[in-house]
Amino acid sequence: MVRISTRSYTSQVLKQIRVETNDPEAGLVTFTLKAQVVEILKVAPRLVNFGKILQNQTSVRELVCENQGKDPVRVLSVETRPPTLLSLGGQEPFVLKPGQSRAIVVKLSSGSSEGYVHGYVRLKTDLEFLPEKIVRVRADVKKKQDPGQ
Amino acid sequence: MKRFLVSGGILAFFVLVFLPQHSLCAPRAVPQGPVFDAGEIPQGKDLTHEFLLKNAGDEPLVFKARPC
Repeated sequence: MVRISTRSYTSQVLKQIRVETNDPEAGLVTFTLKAQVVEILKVAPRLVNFGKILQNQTSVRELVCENQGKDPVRVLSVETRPPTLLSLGGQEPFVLKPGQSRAIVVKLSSGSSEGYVHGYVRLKTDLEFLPEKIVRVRADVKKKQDPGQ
Repeated sequence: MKRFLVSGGILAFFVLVFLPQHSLCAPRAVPQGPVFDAGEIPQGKDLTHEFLLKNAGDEPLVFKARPC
């Protein structure tokens, strides 16, 4: 039995399984498993990169959710982690009809710590096979130059 | 004598051509449906399939699967 999770796939899946045998004439047998993965709820970008941001600053990015399926998709909740760093323009549940899209505003407040910061936005859905979708967020917080220097 | 030689030749031919394949004690791996296309599946749904490898030989087949 071969099992492949399609969570990280957005297009074609093509996997080969090689079987080594003691058959003197067919020492290597290959099985091929393929499928076309349909991304019903597309969220773009797949990674929100705020890039370089100064300490104690706020920056905003937009996520766009699109229903590429044939049935309505209910987004039950949208949340961010860590909440001290990331917040949202709105957190209300919403429904996307087929072909419909909606933007979600993600706000990063860099704070006083320097260095790379990581977090994520989690969307909970009513999709049977994809109850949640996670979008990673990252930023590089740089030290603010002292105006006196 | 000639008849004997012809018969012997035919017998030798069959022994040489067919006997090694049938009497050689060896496993024979025969994949059943080596390619499986699941078609369209929604993201998140596990893609599962059971492949079958038949031993058509006359010795035990030993195998080891390696995903790649």
